[in-house]
Amino acid sequence: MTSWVVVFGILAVLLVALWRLTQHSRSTVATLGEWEQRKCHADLEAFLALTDPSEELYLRISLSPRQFRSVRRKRIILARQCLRSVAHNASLFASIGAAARLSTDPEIALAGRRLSTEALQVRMNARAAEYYLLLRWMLPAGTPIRLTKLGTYQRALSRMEFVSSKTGLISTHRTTPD
Amino acid sequence: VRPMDPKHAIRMALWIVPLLLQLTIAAVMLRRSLFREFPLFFLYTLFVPLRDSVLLFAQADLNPWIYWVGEGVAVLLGMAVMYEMLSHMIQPYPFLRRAAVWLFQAAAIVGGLIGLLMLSQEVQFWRPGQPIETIVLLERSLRLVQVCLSLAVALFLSRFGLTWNHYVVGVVTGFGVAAGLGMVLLEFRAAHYISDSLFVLMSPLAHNCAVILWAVYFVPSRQREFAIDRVPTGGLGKWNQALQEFIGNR
Repeated sequence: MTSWVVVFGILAVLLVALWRLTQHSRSTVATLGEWEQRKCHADLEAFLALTDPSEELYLRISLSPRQFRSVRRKRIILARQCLRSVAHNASLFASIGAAARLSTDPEIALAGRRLSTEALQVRMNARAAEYYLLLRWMLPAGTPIRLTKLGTYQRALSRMEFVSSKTGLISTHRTTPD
Repeated sequence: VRPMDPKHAIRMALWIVPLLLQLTIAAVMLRRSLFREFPLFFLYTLFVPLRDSVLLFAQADLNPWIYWVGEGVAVLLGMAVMYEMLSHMIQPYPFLRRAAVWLFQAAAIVGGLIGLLMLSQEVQFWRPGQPIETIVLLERSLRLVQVCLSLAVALFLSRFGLTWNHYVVGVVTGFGVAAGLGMVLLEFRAAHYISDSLFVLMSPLAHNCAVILWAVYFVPSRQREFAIDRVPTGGLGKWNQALQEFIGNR
């Protein structure tokens, strides 16, 4: 009985994985026309705003815990949609890069190599970020571990000052970002 | 003229069709110089028809040994082909190498452990005087490892979008289907749900499915017009930086 469960369980997962693999291979592009048709809109500014820790800090202070969890989940869903679009576009870029690598023009071939490498890095990072956001979606009350981005940190500080001056709940003190 | 026994006709068809198709695939690979890109798959494509041809002319008492030893070599060669496909796709991207090798090794270890666990639960294993039972159970475990490797490679390629090489996708899909179907048939045979004669009749089906898939991917010309006179960027650099910072902050 155990071996039946193992064999048919693994077989089911394998068939789904193979189905996805063949579907993915059908959606690759080899011309710029195909790329134009299939690319998704991915807004970097929107993603940065949705994942900005200072924005989250502001929301955490401004909203009730329940409202905050709800709003945070919505923001995470939108951010994950951005990431999925980026991952999709990166995949198209990678296949365009792979096609360009075959070009007889050495400049285009080199650009193609660079493009596919960068596209795969973006896809890897997008996937990692997506998993991280999934974790945050599951634990919406969790706090970001640390803020190291200088600009974000400074925005967070000014936001903190603004919030504390309005509410009087938090004492403001400046610290140097590391 | 006596009509041919339908079982015999099916057996012959299942034996001859893949043999001819694999030789065609080998010829196509030679013509397109694909044997340089996929040397292990080319070797596999020649090895299996060669074994089947030897089986035709070998003495009857040698046939089971040639078949089962050949089957073991074919399964191991199939696993090496999976690694070849993975290596081929990640070769231009050194940053993916560690993750790919780690995943492949992990799949092999997990598959091997599950296979050993399944073997240890079988009372028929190592029963004296019944070597076929032992061989069937051993092959089932080997097929399980092959399935795990196919699964790992398929997941890796689709997760990272490394799916533009149709040959690689075809080879991985073919091996996955063959290993999966073979494993199920061996499971049925090990549990005695099918008779030996039905098992002998049906076991080439898995290989047939794989060979037909490979033929579909390899034989038609897949030359496409690569009309790329410029390479788009689409703000990838900015996205890469933003994502690295996002991940780095966590």
